[in-house]
Amino acid sequence: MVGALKAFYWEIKMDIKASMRYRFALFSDIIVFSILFSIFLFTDTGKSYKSFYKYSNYKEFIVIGYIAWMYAVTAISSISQIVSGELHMGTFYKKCNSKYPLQFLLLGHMVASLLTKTIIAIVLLLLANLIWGVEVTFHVMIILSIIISTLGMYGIGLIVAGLTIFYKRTGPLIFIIQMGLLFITDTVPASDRTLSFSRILPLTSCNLIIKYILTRQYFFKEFIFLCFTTAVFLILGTLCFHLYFRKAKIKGNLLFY
Amino acid sequence: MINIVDITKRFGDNNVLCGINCSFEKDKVTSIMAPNGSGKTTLLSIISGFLIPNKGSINFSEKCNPINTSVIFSGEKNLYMKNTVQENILYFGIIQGMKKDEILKKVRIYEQYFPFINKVKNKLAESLSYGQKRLLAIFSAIVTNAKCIIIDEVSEGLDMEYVSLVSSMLHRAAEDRVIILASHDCDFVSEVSDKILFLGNGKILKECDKLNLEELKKLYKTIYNLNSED
Repeated sequence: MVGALKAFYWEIKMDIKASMRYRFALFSDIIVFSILFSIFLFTDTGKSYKSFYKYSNYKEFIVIGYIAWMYAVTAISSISQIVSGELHMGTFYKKCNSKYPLQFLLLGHMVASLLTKTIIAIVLLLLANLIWGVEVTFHVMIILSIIISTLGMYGIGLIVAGLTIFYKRTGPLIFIIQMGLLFITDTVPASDRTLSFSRILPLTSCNLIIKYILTRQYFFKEFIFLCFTTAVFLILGTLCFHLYFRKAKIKGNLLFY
Repeated sequence: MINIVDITKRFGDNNVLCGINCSFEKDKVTSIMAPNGSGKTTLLSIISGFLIPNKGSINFSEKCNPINTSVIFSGEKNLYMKNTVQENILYFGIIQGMKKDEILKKVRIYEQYFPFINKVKNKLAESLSYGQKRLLAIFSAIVTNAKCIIIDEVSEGLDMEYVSLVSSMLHRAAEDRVIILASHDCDFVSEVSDKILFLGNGKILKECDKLNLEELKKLYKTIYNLNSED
């Protein structure tokens, strides 16, 4: 157990150190996420929430929802990026033959990516407050919901990573998923019809919980549903990852990078 | 000890390995020699668990299994380029379940073969030369507790001085471990190997114990010339 935690810690440490050495990548992430964020605030995206939820500080929904979305897309894309990158580098084979489960080490990588994204989240919160005058309330259940939702999205990330191992080039697919999630999960207003099928996604539940908490509505039922969908996606993700990993071992895809 | 029993691997219609039978023993450095495209990397990948064969099995003795295997493929990869030499060495040991002190103790033992490791320990892996990256990858595999070490194209990119040091280090590292190498380099193979397997047409064509350079070159020529005549 201690050894596993050490490996997990080292996974995070290695990744954060490497990320800090790629300062430009972090800087460009801050720019990209800030520009998109500012566009939403500038164009008054989410104004319909004001009448729907009878909540005047509706931009707060956008700010917190956007941060939840940023963590969700990081959970999805970071795993496939690391799998693809490490297969090219040859270090993935070491992870495969590690004493600890591969998914556990990949989770460490995701945590490192999320910690790096927290720097961006802080920049976004400052930007929202100082430039756009949005006051953001911190609530422990909102933070917990974002963490649980991110874990659920990690399950989807494992499915995408499995596809990446088998099919290799999944960049466009990941881009569509990232953008799609922004518009179908109520991060920015989505139609009821869209929400009726996107509700199975942990991020949609998370966004609803954020709104329920801020408008002081009952959220416990939605929270239980979030925990359930997260567990389902984690199990599904693990199974899919195993399946595609095994298929890649049979076909020899692991060697053709 | 690793026993390979009747391993067959096909990629589409191409039969790369056809019923391979061989064994790799503890305390020995075993080299696989073969011309390009003979299935060396395929065989190594099957042993290390990255490829599932169509037929056959691999029997590992206690402690020696794919989880306890460290693999170095050809090329200057196998490292985290944006991390330091020290970070790479420690990380690879820690994910094999070792403690930091244990890794550093082993580093001190094997450092005598590559004193440059200590000098560059705080440098980023990306700043090393091609040969140094290969050495670091080999070094980081050896200082782990892996019971089986597999190195593809082991002498690739190394100058004569380092080839000799790698050879000594591998002999030392072979204590209580299985070491499997794949190489084209007759000089290196004759110097380092306790056992040599010649692979061709998807089969083990010949298996022999240590050979001197002349004998090895002669045998290599004989085996593969005969096959080309076939």
